[in-house]
Amino acid sequence: MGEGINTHAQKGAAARRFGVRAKLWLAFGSVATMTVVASAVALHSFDVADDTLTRISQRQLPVMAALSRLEQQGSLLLATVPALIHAESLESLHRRARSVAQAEEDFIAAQNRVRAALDGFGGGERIETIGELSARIGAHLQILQSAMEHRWRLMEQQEDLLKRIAPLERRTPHILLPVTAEHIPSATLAQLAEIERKIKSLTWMDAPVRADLVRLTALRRTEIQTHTLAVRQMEHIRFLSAGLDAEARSLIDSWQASSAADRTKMIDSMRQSRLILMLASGLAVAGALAVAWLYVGRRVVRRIVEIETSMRGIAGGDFDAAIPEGGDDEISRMAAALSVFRDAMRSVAHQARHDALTGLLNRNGLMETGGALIEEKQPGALIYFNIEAFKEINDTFGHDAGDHVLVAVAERLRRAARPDWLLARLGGDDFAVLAPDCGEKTAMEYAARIQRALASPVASDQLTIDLRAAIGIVCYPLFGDTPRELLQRADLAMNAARARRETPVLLYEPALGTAAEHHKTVRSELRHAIEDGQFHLVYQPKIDIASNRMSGVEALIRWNHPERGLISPLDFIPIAERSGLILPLGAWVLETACRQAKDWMDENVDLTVAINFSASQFLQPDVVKHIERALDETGLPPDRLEIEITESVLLRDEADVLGRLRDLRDCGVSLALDDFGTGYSSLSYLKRLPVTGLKIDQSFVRDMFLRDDDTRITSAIIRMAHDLGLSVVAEGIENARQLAFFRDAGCDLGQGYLFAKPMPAADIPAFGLAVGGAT
Amino acid sequence: MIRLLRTACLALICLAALPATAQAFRAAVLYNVGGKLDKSFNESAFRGVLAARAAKLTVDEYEPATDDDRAPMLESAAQSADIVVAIGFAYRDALSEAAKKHPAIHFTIVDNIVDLPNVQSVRFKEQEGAFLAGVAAAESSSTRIVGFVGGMDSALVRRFQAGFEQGVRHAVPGARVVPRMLGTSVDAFADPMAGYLVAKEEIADGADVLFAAAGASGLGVYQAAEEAAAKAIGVDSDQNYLFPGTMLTSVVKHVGDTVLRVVKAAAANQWRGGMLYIGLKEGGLSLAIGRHNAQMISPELREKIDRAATEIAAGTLVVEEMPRTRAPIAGGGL
Repeated sequence: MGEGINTHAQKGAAARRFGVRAKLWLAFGSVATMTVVASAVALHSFDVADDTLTRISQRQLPVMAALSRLEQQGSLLLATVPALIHAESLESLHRRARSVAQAEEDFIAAQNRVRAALDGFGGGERIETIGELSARIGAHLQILQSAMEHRWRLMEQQEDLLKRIAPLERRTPHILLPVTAEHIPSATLAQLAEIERKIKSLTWMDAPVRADLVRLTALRRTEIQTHTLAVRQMEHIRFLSAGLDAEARSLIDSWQASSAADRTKMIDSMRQSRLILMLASGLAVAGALAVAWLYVGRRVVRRIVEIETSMRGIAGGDFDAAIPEGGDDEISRMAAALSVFRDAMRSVAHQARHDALTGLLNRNGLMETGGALIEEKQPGALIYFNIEAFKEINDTFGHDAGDHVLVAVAERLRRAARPDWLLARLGGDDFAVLAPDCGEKTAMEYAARIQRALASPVASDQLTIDLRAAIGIVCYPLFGDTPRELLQRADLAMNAARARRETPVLLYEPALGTAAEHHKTVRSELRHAIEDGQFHLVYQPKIDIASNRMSGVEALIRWNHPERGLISPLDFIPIAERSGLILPLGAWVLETACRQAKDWMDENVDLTVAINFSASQFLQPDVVKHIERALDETGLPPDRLEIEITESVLLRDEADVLGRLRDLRDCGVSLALDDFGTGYSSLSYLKRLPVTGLKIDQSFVRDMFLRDDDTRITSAIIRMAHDLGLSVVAEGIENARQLAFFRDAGCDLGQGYLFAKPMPAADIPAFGLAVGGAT
Repeated sequence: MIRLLRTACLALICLAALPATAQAFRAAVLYNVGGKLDKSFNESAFRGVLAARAAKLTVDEYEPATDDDRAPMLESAAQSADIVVAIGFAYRDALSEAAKKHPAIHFTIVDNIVDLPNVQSVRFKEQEGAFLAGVAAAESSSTRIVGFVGGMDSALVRRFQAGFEQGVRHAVPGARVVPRMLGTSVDAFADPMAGYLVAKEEIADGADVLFAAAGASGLGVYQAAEEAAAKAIGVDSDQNYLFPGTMLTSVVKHVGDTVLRVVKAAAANQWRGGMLYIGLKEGGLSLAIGRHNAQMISPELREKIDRAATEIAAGTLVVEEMPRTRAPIAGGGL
C-alpha cells in the first residue's frame, strides 16, 4: 500500500518535472544557447578581423612603409649621382662622393628594412634581385667615383706640365711649332693621335721638352678614358636604376596585391561570419518564435484560451462546453479540475432550476425554460393549480404526509404529462404546467386530464387522502407573453376557479383581471377610509313579531366613498376579510355600535344591538377581551350586545370556537348564528353550540313558498330552536304573507323591508316611538 | 664615428644601468676599411654577424673610415665585449697593442698573425681557392693568356697570385699568366680606376680572363673585362652578380662563417688562442657557382675543378704560397 503511494507520488513529481515550466525552461535554455552560439560566432569573427587587421597593421604596413621608403631612397640616390660628374674640384668631388655614399647607405638601410619586414613573407627572390641591383649600382658608383678622382688628378697633372712647358714654348718661334701644348688638355682622341705624330717629327726639339709633350698627351688620353668610363658608369647606373625602380615597383605592386588579397580574405571571412551570425541569430529568433508559437502559443496559450472559453461557457450555463483533453501537464490538470467544477456547477444549476423534493422545475426553472418557449410565439397554455386544503393536510397529518402528497402529485403529473410539457412546482402546493402548442379547448382537456390524474386518493401510511385541485388556465400569447405575467393571470384564474364547487377549472379572461384590479384598489382605499371616517353604521330594526314592537337593531356598515358614493358591504367586506383589514374595521364597528347602544340606553331607548363578526374576526385569539373592553369603555351592559356569527366559523377548530362562544355567553353577551339554512350546519350540531339564537337567512325566506317542503322545514327549525331554548330571527321579511307565516310558526323576531330598511342611528328612537315599543 | 660614439654610449648606458646584464655575453666585430657593404671581404664578415645575431647573440659592429680609427675602436670594443673579432690583416699592430692592454679579453684577428696568448689568429689558405680559379680561368681562355690583378703587393695577395698561377699551369700547361699589382699601400684595394687601366693593359697583352684579388679595385677590372667582352673572376665574396655574363666565378673566402664560428665558440667558452689555418678542407674557401654563372661553367670544367678541390683538400695536391715571379707594380695611374 505504502509502496503504491510512493510510486504515485513519484509519478506526480515526474509529471511536474516535465510540465509547462520545465518545457519553457528547456525552450528558453535552448534559445539562450543559440544566442550564446551567435555571440561566440560574433566573437570569433571579431577575432578573425582583429587578426587580419593586426597582420595588416603590424606586418603589411611596415612592409609597405619600408617599400615606399626604399623607392624614395632609390630616387634620392639617383638624384645625387650626376653631382659626381659635375664636381668643380677634387674637394667638391669628395664631398659629393660622401653624400652619394650616404645616400647609398640609406638606400641599403631601406633595403634591409624591406628584407626584415618581408622576413617570412616570401618575395625573398625579388628582394634578392633588388639587393643585387643596388649592389651593382654601388659597384658602378665606386668605379664612377674612382674614375672622377683619377680625372681630377690627371687634369691637375696636365696643368702642372703645361706650366713647365709654357716658358719653352714662349722661346720657340710659333711658326716652328706644329702643335701648341695648351691645346692638348682639350684635344680629342683623333687630335691627340695627330699631335703625337707631329711630336715625333720634332726631332730638332729638346728631348726633355718632347718627353713632357708626350707625357701631356698621355695624361690627356687617360683623362679622356676616365671621362668615358665615368659617362659609361652613369649609363650603367641609369640602366640599373630603371631596373631597380621596376623591381621595387613590382614588389610594391605585388605587396599591394597581397594585402588586397588579405583584405579580400578578411572581408570574405567577415562575410562568412556575418552569414553564420545571421544564420545563428536567425535560428535563435526562429527558435524563440517556434517556442512562442508552437509551444506557448499552441500547446499552452491555446489550451488556456480553450479552458477560459469553457469557463465562460460554464459560467454562462453551457455545461456542454468542450474542455480540452489530453496532455500531462499543469494545464491538463487544470482542465481536469475544471471538469470537476463544471459537474459541481451543473448540479448547482440543476438545483437552482429544479425543485429538490419533486424533481420538477422550480419557479426559476419554469421562468427560464418556459420563457424561451413562450418567446417562440406559438400558441400554448399555462395551467396553474394547487391542492385544496393542503394546509390542513399539512397541519393535520404532518409535513411528512404533506411532502408525500406533493411527491405523489408530481409523480402523477409526470405520468399524465405529454412529452412537450414543462412541469413545475412553484412552491408550497402550487404546481404549473406549460403546455406548448395548444388552444383553449385543448388546454381545458389537459386540465381535465390533470384532474383525472389527481382524482384517486393518495395513500400515506395508514391513511388515504383525497385530493382536489383548483385549476387556472391562461392562454398565450393571447393573454401575455412573459412567464411572470402568465403565472400571475393563471393564479387569478385559479383563485377564481376555487369558488366553483363542481368543476374548479377556469380559463383566464380579462374580466378576472379587472375584478382583481378592483379588489386591489378597494384594498388600498380601505385603509384610508378607516382613518378618514368614511364609514358609518346604519341600523335595521328587529321587530317582535308577536307584539309588533322593536326589540333591537342590527348594525350594518356603510362606506360612503367620497368619489364613488355608497359602496355595498358585499363589495368590500370580502376584500377586507382577505386583506386582514377586517380586524380594525370590525373593532371600529364594535366600538361605534356599543357607544350608540349606550347613548340609546341613556335616552331610555331600550334596545339590543347585533353586530356581525366575520370568521377571521371571531377567530382572533383575544376576541373575547376585545368585546369586554368595548363594553367596559362604552359602559354598555353585556346583555344589550348580540354577536352574529356565520356557520363557516364552526368549520374551524371546534373546541376552540366552542370555548370562545362559551366565554362570551358567560359574560352575558348574546350569540346568534347568522345565515342559518345556507350552509351544512345541522340541527343536531346546533344543539352543542352555546348560542342564544339563530337567524334564518333571507334567501331561504325569499324562496320559502316555492316549495312546500321549505315551509315545513322552516316551521320545524323554529320549533326545534325553541325546544333548544333559542330565539329565532327571520330575515328579509318583505310581505305580509311571510309575516303571517312566521307569526303562525311562532318565530320570535322579524327583520326586513316590511318593517323597516336600515336607517341612521338618529332615526331609530323615532321609529321606536312610531311602532310603539322600546320606550 | 657617429656609430662608434653611439655604440659606446649605448654600451656605457647598458653597463651603468644594468650591471646584471653586463654578465651577458657580448661580441664585437671590427670591419676593414672600405665599408661593411664592399661587395667583397667586409660584406662576407657582415653576413657572419647577421647569422650570429640570428642565433640570439649580441654583436657590436665597428666600421673604421681610415687606418687611424682602428686603435680607438679596438679599445672601445675591448672594454665592452668578451670577444673582439678584427677583420683584416691591417689590424695587426693595433690589435697587438690592445691585446696586451686587455689580457683578459679574447681577440681574434682574421688574415694576419699576432702571437699573443689571448689572441687567436685566423688565416685562410687563399692559394687553394685561387688554384681553383686558375683552373677555371685557363680552361675558359681561348688566347691561353690570363691576367692577374693584385691589390696591394703583400703576402696575402701573393698567395692569391701563386695559387692562381699554379692552377692555370695545372689545367693548361701551355697557358700564360700576366700578373700585375696595383700598388704598395692599402689604397690599392680601393682604386677601381687603377684596376680598370691595368686590366685594359692586360687585355691589350692578350689576356681574356682576368682574376682580380684587389678588393674594391677589382670592380674596375671587371668593368674593363666587360667592355672587352673578356671574362673576370671575383674575390672574397660571391661577386658573380655584379657583372652578369662577365663574371666567370668568384673565389669566396668564408669570412662570415669564420666570424660566426669564433663568436659561437667564445659564447660557449670554447674559444682558444693560437693559430687557425683555414683552407678548402675546412670549407674556408670555395668557388662560387650559381644562377649567374652556371651556364659559363661546363660540366667538364666543373668536374675538373671539383677534382682539383678534392685533391687539394686530401693533401695530394699541394699549392705553394709563393709565386714563382714577382708581379710588376702598375705605376702609370697615380
